[in-house]
Amino acid sequence: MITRRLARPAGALTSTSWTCASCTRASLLPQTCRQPPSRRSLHHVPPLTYDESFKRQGIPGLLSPDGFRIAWTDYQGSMVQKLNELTAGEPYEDAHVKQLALQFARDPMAASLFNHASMAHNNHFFFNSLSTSPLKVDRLPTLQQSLNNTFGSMETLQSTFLDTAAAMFGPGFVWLVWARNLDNPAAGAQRRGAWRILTTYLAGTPYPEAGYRQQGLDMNNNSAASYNSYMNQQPVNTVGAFGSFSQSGREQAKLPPGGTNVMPVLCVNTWEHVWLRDYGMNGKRRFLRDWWDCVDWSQVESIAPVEAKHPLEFQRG
Amino acid sequence: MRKLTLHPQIRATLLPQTRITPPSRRSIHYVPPLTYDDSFRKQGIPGLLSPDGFRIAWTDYQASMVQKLNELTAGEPYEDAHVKQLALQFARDPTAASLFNHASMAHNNHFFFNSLSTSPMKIDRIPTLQQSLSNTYGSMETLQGAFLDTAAAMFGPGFVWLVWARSLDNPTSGVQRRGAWRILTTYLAGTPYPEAGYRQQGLDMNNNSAASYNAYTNGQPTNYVGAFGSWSQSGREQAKLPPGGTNVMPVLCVNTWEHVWLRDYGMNGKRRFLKDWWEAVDWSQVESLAPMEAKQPLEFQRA
Repeated sequence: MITRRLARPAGALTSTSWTCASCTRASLLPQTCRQPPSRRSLHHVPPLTYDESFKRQGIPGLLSPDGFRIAWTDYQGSMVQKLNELTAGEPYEDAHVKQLALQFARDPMAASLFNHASMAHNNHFFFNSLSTSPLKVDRLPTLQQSLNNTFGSMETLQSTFLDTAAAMFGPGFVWLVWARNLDNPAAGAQRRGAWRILTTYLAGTPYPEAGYRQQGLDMNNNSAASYNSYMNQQPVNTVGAFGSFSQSGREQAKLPPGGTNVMPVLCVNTWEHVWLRDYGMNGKRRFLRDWWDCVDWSQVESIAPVEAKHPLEFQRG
Repeated sequence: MRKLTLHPQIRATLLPQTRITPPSRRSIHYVPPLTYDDSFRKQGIPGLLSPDGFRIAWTDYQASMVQKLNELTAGEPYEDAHVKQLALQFARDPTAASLFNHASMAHNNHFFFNSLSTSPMKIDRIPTLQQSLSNTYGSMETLQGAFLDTAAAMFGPGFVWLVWARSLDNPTSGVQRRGAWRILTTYLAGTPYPEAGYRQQGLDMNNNSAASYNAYTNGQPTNYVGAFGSWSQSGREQAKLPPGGTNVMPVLCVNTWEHVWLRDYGMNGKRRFLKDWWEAVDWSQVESLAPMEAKQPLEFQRA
């Protein structure tokens, strides 16, 4: 779909002073400028906490320096360059990428803007959970217990998560999210909220405010009828159901702007350019397995809301 | 070993088959040998892919497609069907999504590589075809611009096709010629054949809602030129065709999946890849696939 921003010149808009809203760690690393800006450019590749190390040594156990350069430096650079072209001079030119993704999710004329903003956000989210010395989840007992309450065990969570990612035919992301309004079937206690695994194809976004662009279904596997029923169905039960008619969707409509009841804490980027260099054409599965072992669970823990990390309190019967 | 042919005009070849492992059971699908396989492996595709790039995009990728196809079809009544037949047959079956995806990708990828050669013929050596294309697009430069811009604009991976649509009226001819050239997009593993219209994937669902998707598939077109879908004139006529008959005939496609160009062109090299690809197209192969009526010089009727 051709957007109305076709005629923007490519060359003048490169580096910027924008930082990503999902980046929770304060960073004192110098900004990565691709070129001296010839005009005020608002978007730039946000510095990762471990940028220097990643550039020199790659991501330990996952990506070589070249692989990191392709998947972060080059890719994120091309996303922000396009964002600068698409937002220059507009009232939203200094919005954060997450805000841009949410705002333009329902505007087919702004498809390119949505795609680049959403990919920039998702890609940054992915790289933020990687570090030079990742913390294993067994060092975080309350988080681990919380995950076990939903999935039974970390091994089950891992295989469900990775099988989902491996099964996706085209590129996208798989997310671990905390869904605030779902009842936890495993709890039996008065705990609201549960963990869920969510898929987003291509540049889809996990936030319900932008539900039109969740892209949770591969349209290769669906017809217009099944897509409609996915979006419009009255769920048999509301546990695990997403969409505008789900319980969480209905409650979302009542939240103040910015409020959300789906909180992503972790994602994996399955686009080919992330793993092709280091794992080869048939290496997606191995990449996914290596990635799981590289996740820095301290970052996951820092994003998870408090109620997701409380030990359950059982009521006496 | 049953030969897996992917379209009627495949060139006969005596090149050895590429197996990825010795079959421990009868495996029917294998990587079909390209006419220029040996040369491509050693030297890559001139002006387009290095040997490594070719290995990734053809040898490795096609092998993974056929391996999966063997797993998915083994012991089934359709286990020796051609990949195109599998794609058409399973396009409407969501429970066979993986089978469709792998069959369709195998077909599309083979189609892409078949239009590349060690010494491609330029279009100006085939005047009737060039004239026919210019009749629709004005010039080859305009066709190139439209085709490559379309491919560059697609956010996710897919294919872009040049097809001859038999049932469309050619608006520029003013004469009694039926049929016209069209450019078609297919996202991911989408297929261009109308018999599998459910899986054309002509729209990026990122840019559409359920409502616009419905409108696309069900809309009453205001005119029939250029309209595809079950309600288009060509779609309606398709329903009357005998099995195997088609009124959309692909003659050329480009594969825009990242694994094709990432190795040789880098993360920001998609546009350059597309431009190099256009220069590398062997138009003699396109000409051999185009139906007769697509290559006839136009005859003007005297008033």
